[in-house]
Amino acid sequence: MELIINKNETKNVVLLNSTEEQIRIVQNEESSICVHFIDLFPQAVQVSRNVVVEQVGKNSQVQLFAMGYLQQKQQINFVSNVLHNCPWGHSEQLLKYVLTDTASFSFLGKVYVAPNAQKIVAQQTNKNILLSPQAKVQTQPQLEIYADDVQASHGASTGAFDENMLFYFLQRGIARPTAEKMLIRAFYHEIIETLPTEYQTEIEKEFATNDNLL
Amino acid sequence: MKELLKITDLHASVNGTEILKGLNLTINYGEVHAIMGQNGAGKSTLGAILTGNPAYEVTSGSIVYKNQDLLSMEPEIRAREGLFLSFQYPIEIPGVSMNNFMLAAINAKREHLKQEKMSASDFLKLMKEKRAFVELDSKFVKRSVNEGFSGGEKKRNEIFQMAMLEPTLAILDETDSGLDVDALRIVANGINKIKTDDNSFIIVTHYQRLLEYIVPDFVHILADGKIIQTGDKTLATKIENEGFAFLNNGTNH
Repeated sequence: MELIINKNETKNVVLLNSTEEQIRIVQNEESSICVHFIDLFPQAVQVSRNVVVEQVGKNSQVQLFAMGYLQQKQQINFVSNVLHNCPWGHSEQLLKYVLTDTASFSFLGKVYVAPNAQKIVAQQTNKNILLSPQAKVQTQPQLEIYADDVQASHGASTGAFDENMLFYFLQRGIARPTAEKMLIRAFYHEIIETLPTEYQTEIEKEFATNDNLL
Repeated sequence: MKELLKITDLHASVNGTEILKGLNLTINYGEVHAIMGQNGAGKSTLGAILTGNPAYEVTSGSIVYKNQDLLSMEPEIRAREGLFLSFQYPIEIPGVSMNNFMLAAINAKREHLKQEKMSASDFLKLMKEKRAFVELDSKFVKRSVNEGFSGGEKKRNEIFQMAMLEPTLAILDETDSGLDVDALRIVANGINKIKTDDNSFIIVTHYQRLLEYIVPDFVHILADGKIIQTGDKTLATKIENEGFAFLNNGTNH
């Protein structure tokens, strides 16, 4: 899949359960693109997703959001490569995955800032929740910055739900599966609220078809 | 007197260290019991054991609650059967609103009691009514559970939840600690509004000050995992005046 974003264009793309592996985005001057990857696959799946964002015009903005619930042997390897070739570019990446059973997720987030690409703001966050000790996560940021006036940040966290938190639910009569669902929904919230409204409804339907989520 | 809870020769440990060493306690419907004791005496362990906190292990003894074997019940079933713990350190749950949290709790209890789910309008009415007990404003229901609450708000929120869930046996684990005089008064008034002849309270505390507002029927002193002395409210006054030191000269020790 290749997306060319024209000068001054703003585009929203939502990829729901997409197995597309090569995604290339080219951004011209003053353009803005927001891509959501929603991975709630009902079937066994193994995806090596490679997202390249190339900013060839100044003052472009990209937002990459990804959320998913991976179960059984589902596997997603997510590589993003954001190339800030021009000044005043923004990139924001937020990936939130929940894994259970023997599912696995890896994220390699590359951010490149060219020598003349000053005033870049690049942000990258990956948070994951493990519901099973057999589920696996690997996450790695890779920043390659050749300009000196750049704000780049990255953060990652992976862990299980806090047992004290779960006990608080239990003590109020709320069983563990319900508590986990409420916590998972809370975990996804900051991504769901960035979706266009029509997709928010669509996602609710997706949740409804998955016993683990609703 | 109808018996609600009977603890017999309870031994319990946490991380392999024995904390409760033969505790006996009987509570009837309508009674308020205060449990006092120094740090490390096992006061918080009692609440954790009663509510089924998996970090604590009962090594021997029995607990009968509403004529049922409490120790064989799952923590959430105990809660739905009317056991409530006001946590010493209430947990923050980012992203889960008080509204959603309470609705889930109320409906879990109603389902357990084979009652229909509460309607949205009845629920909102109930939330409003009980919020007034502890003087929490309307913005509070939209906030995430305990997230960013001040110490006093967290304690008021515990009492609010207690009012919503109408427990049969409520354990207040140092609910008074860290409260200023105004917050203490609000919390105490909230508890007094919930108190009836059909429910009972265990008030775990270091100090007498909460007991000035909520008069206990019994005061127990817990030391080294056992109740070593039981008296009426005057025992709390004695501890307040003399400290726990007088116990060291007591015949029970």
